[in-house]
Amino acid sequence: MVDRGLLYREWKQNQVVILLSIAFLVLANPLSIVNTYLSYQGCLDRQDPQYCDFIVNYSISNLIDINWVPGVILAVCFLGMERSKGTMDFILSLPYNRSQIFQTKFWLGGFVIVLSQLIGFLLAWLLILVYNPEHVYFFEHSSIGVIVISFMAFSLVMAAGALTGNAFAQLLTAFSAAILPYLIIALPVGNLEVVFGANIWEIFPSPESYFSLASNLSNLVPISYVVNEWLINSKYLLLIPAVMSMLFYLIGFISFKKLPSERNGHFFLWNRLDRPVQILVMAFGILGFGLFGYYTGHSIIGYILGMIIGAVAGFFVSYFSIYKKTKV
Amino acid sequence: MIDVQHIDHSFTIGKKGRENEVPVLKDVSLSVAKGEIACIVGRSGSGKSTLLNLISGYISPTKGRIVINGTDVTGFNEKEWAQFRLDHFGFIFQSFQLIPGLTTYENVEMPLALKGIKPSERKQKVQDMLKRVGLENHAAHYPNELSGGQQQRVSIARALILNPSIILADEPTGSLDSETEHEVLELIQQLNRERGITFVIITHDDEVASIGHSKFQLHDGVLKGGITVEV
Repeated sequence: MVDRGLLYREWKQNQVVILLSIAFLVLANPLSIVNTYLSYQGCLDRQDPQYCDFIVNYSISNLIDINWVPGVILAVCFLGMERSKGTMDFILSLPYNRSQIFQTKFWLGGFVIVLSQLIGFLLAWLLILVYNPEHVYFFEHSSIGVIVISFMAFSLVMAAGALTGNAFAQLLTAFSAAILPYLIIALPVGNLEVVFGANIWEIFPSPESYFSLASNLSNLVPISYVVNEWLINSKYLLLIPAVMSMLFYLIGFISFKKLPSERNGHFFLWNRLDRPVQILVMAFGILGFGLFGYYTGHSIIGYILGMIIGAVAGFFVSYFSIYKKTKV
Repeated sequence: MIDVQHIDHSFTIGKKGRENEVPVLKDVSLSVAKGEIACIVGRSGSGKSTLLNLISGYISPTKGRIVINGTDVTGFNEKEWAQFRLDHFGFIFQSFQLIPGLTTYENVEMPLALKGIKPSERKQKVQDMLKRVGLENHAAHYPNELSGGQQQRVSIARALILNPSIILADEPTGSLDSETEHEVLELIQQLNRERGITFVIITHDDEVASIGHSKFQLHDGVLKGGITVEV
């Protein structure tokens, strides 16, 4: 499955980005604790000790909240950049089949993400033992959660990279997929509210039931895990990004195996996606800009103008991004 | 050596059930003899890269047959193609595709390492090859420390290191200035004469095409005829 020769090639091709990712992911967690400790020491230097608390609270903004970023960068370097630069053609000329190539790239990235963060978790745990803070909140939940979420982000961008022919297309597709549930549900609902002049929550038995449904649905939006509000929910919520990771892995694996490489440089490797995605981009443009136009002045004229601008913008954005080949 | 027989290749577009077949190559037949330099020329979109991809086994033809070194490769699966490429082909790319983290020596050594050849044996082969392409003094240099022409020489050395019988080159001088292009073309001709290696070169450049013993002109997926010069 994963091949040593290919691993060596990936390592040499992406050495700098792999090393920087490892360094960041190993250090982010312990550095967060060191930072809290130094803040506490600073407080002790300035104030009476009774006004200073040494509390490590992972629900408050923490460096590990951006641990998904190296996953995104690794996935772009492994697929999008290789397609943009043309080095993918060289890999395909090596004596390996496509599944070996994808498996090697995917599991190398996955290994870097998971193992580095586990080491960081261990170092942070040791620091907690050494510093002995008064309270530690959400340490395990947050540390393990960000591993799952960064792995999901990596899988998502890898899947997008397997479907697309350049780095820009990979990032745009990954971002669109990350907000897709919002685009499919919330955008049309918002427009229905404008057209019918009603609030959607009014058709629910109670506002609470509406907000509960909206909250549950938001758990299906990959991008919602970028902020750490998931920490206040059950730990089992992390099963959703874990399942998403597997789904994205399968999409990436099958796409990489099946899609032709001669469309490297195009937006989508599967040309049948060009037209439906262009239509979707235009539809989202119309709905999104329409809503924006409406809410700027709360007028139907603004709504219609917004829709017209959205249609034109959607057409041009989709036309130039999807149909214009970026690599000759 | 390379026998392409009545190849058709097309892409499918449109909705399921109402698909349209867009032909890229139509009834293409060509034959490249051992030790020949064959140039496939044509404008962008003429189907020349698709033809190279078919010969390389990255895609399968819709119709027709491809025989390489006496083996019918048309029905090969991915695994069989991977082994066949390792045993028979070397590749040269327009953008060199050297690995930035490896020195000249290591880039050329890599195919040998992938084939499982012992380090002691590898060293001699790589040194000989670097000497042959005139880069023995640049063995420790990284790709970003080399000129475009030198990088393409490394790429040629890497393609040759496993002694393939066929080199497939996709616009090998496309990223080079005219002086460096001339040097690289001369090296290709020398290697062809010395080692009897077959070169299949994709190009839209008339100067590159002029080194070919045979020249195949593709226009909108149709072979407009080949000019063959005695080898």
